[in-house]
Amino acid sequence: MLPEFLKSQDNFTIDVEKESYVQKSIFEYLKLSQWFFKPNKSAFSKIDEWAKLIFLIWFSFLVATSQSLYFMAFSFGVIVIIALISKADLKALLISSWAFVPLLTFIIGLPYAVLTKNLITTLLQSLKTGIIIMIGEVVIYNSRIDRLFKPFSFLNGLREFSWLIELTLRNIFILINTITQILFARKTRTVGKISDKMTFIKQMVKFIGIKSMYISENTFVAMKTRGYSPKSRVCLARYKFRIGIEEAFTLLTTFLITIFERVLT
Amino acid sequence: MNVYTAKNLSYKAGEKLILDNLNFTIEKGKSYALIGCNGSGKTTLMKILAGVELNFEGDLYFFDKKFDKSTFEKLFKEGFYKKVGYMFQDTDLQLFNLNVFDEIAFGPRQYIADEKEIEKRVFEIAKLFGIENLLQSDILVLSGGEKKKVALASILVNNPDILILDEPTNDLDPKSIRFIAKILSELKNAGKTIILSTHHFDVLLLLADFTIVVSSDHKILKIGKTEEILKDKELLVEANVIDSEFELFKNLFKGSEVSP
Repeated sequence: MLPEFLKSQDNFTIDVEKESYVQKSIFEYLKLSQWFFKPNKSAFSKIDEWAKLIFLIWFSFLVATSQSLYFMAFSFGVIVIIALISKADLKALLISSWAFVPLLTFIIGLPYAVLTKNLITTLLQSLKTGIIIMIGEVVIYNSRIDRLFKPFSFLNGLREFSWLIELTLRNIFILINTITQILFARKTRTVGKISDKMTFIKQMVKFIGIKSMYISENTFVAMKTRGYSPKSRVCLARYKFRIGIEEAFTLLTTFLITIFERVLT
Repeated sequence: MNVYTAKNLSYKAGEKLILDNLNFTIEKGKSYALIGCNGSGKTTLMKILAGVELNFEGDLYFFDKKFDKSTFEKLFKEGFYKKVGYMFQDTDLQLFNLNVFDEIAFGPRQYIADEKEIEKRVFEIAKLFGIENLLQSDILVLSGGEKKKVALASILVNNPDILILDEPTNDLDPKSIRFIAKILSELKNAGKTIILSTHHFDVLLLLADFTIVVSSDHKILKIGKTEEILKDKELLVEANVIDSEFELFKNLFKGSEVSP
């Protein structure tokens, strides 16, 4: 027997407020952040992951240690070219890598820039952050995630680390999806206004924390029950370093970028 | 009066075509079931109707108002989700509160100020689903069937006129399926418009005035009265919602006009 309220129409006044910029941005950011997990068959995806990993680590190191705005511009250009060749969603790449962390880094660094009258340091900091996030996203986009950290497993001490990385990467994707769905679920059950935003945010953070633990446990069990082990010799035996033209080209590019870093300083 | 009118509605996910040139209308106060094989695009269509996915091509109207990316924000501000309730296919993704009471009370808390009124509604809806003893339970410890009931209760508590339910009876045992179908049937009689996707023929017979058959190549094969659709064996086989090789299927049709 249906309750009375379901048999008639509600006549509550709907009070809707504009979705705040931060809420909207987080939502858009999460949706955008998923682009780099999409399958991709570009020429770069054929390069073996060990070469890409070396390129990523060395490139990030050069960007992190460089003090040259020219090198930042050069690095940005390199990433954009890679993104264009691999047909990545350039708009999504730019927004997802620059809209949050680099922007926040810049805002946080502004008082320092004003006090010391040195804007370049603050600018460099945020540029470095953005470029490193960008290259990370482009490399993930052009790689098979499950193979990206496999080269680590050759170093005995890092096997657990590689497992942890693999688990984390899988969970990040599931969590991004979960958070996006929660925001959708929230939107479809409100009329635009959240009566108590702080409670909602607190509850959401708490729920995501618990859910991420729950997901981690399940992912761990799912991986383990299908025979995955970081110490599996079969697993290791299957992974072979491939050294071909593509890998040599990647290393050459890494070397050339290093020279450019020296030249542009 | 038409709740939805779709004209040449298509949807692509990247290069992949998910919905191909759909044309249909959804009448107010009627119930519609979407049937089709896995991957035919039922969930995407429901997401579009629920305003969750708006990157589609073609024209869609909600009560004669244009319904697309550019107009949705206005509809949203006019209280779209007070009129439309949407239940996810995966309830694990839909439930985001820590306990059942908060989950069900989340919707009413957005527009009812009186906490006593909210409690009354939550209790009444929980009683309807027989989950009043679970109100203080953690969401994560619920069984699949209980989660379905909580998800549906948390939608109904908002008293929407239009219900979009993505496989509300999947993963449920036969008794629970009948229980949910009975509640939905009562809601239909109370004048709600129901659009649901299902793989259960019992639910179709009990609930749906009309059935929309979606093909594996993402087109609408047929829209018609449910009884007529269920008699069309060839159509159902073509849509891959039944398999003529199954013995149970053969028995179901034994003696009927469409006996294989």
